[in-house]
Amino acid sequence: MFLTDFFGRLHPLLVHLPIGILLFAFALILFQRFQKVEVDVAISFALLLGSISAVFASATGWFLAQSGEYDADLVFQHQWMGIGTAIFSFAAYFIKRIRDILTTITVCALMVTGHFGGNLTHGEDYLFPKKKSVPLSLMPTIDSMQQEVLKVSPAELASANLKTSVQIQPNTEKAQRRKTSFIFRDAVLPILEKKCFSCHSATKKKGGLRLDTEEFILLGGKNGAIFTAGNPENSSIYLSMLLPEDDDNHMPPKGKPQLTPQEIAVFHQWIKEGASFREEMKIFLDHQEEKKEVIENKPVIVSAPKTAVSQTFVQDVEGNILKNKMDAVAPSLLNHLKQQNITVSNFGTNSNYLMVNFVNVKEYRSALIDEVLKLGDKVVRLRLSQQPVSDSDIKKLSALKNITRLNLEKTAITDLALKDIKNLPNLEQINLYGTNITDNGLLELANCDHLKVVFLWQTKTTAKGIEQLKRSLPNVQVELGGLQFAKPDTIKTKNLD
Amino acid sequence: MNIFEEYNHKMNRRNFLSGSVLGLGATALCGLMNDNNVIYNDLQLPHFAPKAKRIIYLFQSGAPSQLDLFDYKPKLKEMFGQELPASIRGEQRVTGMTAHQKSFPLAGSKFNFAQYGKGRIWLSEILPYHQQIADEMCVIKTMHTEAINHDPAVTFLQTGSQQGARPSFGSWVSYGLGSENKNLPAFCVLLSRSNNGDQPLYAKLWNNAFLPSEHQGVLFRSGDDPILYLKDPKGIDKFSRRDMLDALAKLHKLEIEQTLDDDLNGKIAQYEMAYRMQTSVPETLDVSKEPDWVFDLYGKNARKPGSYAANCLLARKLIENDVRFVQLYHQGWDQHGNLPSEISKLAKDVDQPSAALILDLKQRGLLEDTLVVWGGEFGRGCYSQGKLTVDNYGRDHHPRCYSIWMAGAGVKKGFTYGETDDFGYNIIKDSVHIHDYQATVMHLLGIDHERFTFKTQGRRYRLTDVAGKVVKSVLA
Repeated sequence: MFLTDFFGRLHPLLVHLPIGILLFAFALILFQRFQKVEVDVAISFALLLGSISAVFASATGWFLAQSGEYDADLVFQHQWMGIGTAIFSFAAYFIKRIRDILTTITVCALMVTGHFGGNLTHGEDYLFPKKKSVPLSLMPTIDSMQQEVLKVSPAELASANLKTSVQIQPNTEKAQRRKTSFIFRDAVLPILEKKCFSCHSATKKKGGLRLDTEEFILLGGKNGAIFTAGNPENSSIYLSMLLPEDDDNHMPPKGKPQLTPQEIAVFHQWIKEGASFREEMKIFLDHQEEKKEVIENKPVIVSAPKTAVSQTFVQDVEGNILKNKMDAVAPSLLNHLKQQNITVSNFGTNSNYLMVNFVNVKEYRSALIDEVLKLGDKVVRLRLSQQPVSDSDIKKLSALKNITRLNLEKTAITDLALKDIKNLPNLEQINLYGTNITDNGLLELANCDHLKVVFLWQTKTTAKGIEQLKRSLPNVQVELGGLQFAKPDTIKTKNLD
Repeated sequence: MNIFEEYNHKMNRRNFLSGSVLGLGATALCGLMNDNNVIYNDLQLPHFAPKAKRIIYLFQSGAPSQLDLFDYKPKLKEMFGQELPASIRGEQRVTGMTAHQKSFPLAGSKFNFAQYGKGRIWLSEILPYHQQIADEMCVIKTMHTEAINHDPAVTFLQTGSQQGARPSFGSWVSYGLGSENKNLPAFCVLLSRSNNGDQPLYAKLWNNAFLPSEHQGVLFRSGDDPILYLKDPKGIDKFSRRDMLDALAKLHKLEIEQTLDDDLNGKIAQYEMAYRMQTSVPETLDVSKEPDWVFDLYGKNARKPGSYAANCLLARKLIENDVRFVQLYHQGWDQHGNLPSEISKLAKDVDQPSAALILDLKQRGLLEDTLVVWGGEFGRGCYSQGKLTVDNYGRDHHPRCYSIWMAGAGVKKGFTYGETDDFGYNIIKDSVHIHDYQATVMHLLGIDHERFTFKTQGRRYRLTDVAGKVVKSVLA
């Protein structure tokens, strides 16, 4: 039993030998005829080899047919055409006189056999797909005219669903109607047809199972029923889809077109809802397009209601600026800045916004600020630390509207400079440590709405000024520095002096 | 067909083989020559907006005991002296140093723990200064590594491979992001130690490997001569040095005209860099102008060149000058025995300067775009190595879990990530592999670790090899 099964399974392998070899023999005959070359020996050899392989193919084919999984009529045709091919090929080998004619007949028989074989394996409409036909017994018992009315295009379906979730009351009659469908006819059957029929239908009944009509589906296969209505977890048809692809019981078998997760979901839903062949189900399936999606009849919350921006909500100003489009900086300008020792770096491969750093500038002069101004709105961070920047230089910076971080620590600026800083609408951080800023200057910052952090260590500001600033900008974080440690046995940090 | 013509066109085996050898050679040569060009042109970093622009890596070499510093395990005290349950140890290999031990008695930490800061971060009593920066700390308790001995583990952490011959983290960053300050190297290295006879460190840890040589970490030594061979030799003054460099550059340029060898441009650049460093390095490393309170902040050791405290101060000065990657190594955490007394000493060396560095960066506004990392190469075990007494025990290497902390740009403040089991032996939640950690730091620098590669010897290499996931939970 095992051996015959095994030989039967060799059939798909062996059939290709006679096809190739006999066709080659035929090609050699044509070659000899038209090119006037002497290759008789080769032709004989090819025919002999082809005939022998044809016998083996037929024999294994016969074993395979014994499994009874194939449509008897189709097997009959294929079997006798195959045997005929083997006989004619032997004849062509032995009867040299009419070899050309016999070989031609062999090749014709070969092709017909091959075609029948293909039908057996892949289904009759594999080569020339027929128009989708639904067995009559599966037609729903609802007036088909009404069905036509309810048919809507996938796009309409999608938009209808979107609308119901947002605007249309789900209980209006129209919406309800549009959202019903015949799950078996419209969803399950197309999947069966596409992915299961090739092995489980009239032509081929693997595992004794046919899935092409309601009765056969209910009947099940060798191992009995394939589903329990209402209980997908107890239904072998569903479970076999869930098994890992390597598993012997996984369906469809490894190498065949697999079910998509959406298609599996369709089976789950169908069985769960009672596996009815006729009843309407409240389910949508857009199977006319390749994209398959199950949309349940539930109002979908498209987006959470927007709440007012709360006081503590901190906006990422810099992040928002970086999202905006900006054109690239001219390479000549970059090169020019580089020659002036101004370091320019970017915010990423796809960003044209820039960070400008004066760390390498040895001899600072106002003219360098003018160079930076040429970059315009591309400048997001500017670092002028430890340079003798004057108040008038800062005035010029007002043109750089996108600056979010400004480093002015240890520069020569005074309160006057801060008057112009308030013109930077996007400023988030400003470092003023080690400057001569006083409370007066600090007050100017009160209008910088987006300011998050101010560094004021080693300035002339006082607690009073900081308190005033905090009154206007309650969320601003002031770094006063001067931190010293408490002795190890206490915990709090405190300010120096 | 004419027989002579036929002869001329004949491609015999010998002709084919000799012809194809040259052809194949030429193809290979093209590959070799193009390699570097392609990479340089493709390299457009950062990939996305960086949170951190600079890094200070406070590497604690020798593996600090997480159980005595960060990872509080009251259960170990409860079960003091009892055997480590086999179910916890599992199939874990231990080093040759404790493999022979018949018993693995649990050793709870001798030190008291408490929670500090808004994030209720657990810290040991031997880290009194860390307690004061708890609000800045992001502690990862679930670091784990693959190596069990110092050299492979440090190499793994630094280069992403246990075997070495790969570029150090800092070299990768230098290669990818370059330096903002053209007068100082992008990757600076500072060494310190607590005792003589500590686990040694090797220059391969800050080596550039296959990356261009200018990305090698530059070791700053303590004392008058921070970088070897940087000073002009006796009898050569500044001006003759300048003349010499100019003449050398001219010769190099002549050669470039003939050979179009781009490496020579790199050579000129390195000579110029060294020349600039002759003034910039002594200037930057000069701490004599620092006010007294700075030394109070970092601790009195900060006045002692070559100490960890002094190196922390130098790290701040380098970062202030926009150096990209400052790597400190502090040796001596390898407490196989006498752990309580030894680790107290180490903690004392490291505690105040590390915390001071955070405060100092913070008040200067540098912590906004500088990332500080503190941690070792692996952890230490929960059972005693050697004899366990009430106040003395030792701990062997433990790669399965250990703690590090980060602070500064882009990481959560006052935050603890990951959980270990009651024995501090296995990770039970949110593990962070070395490659994950590397990927995360790269991410903070605006680099996608998977896209940041260098092709050499026929394959693309990256710091995280073929693994690594960004730990999004620790990002601010």
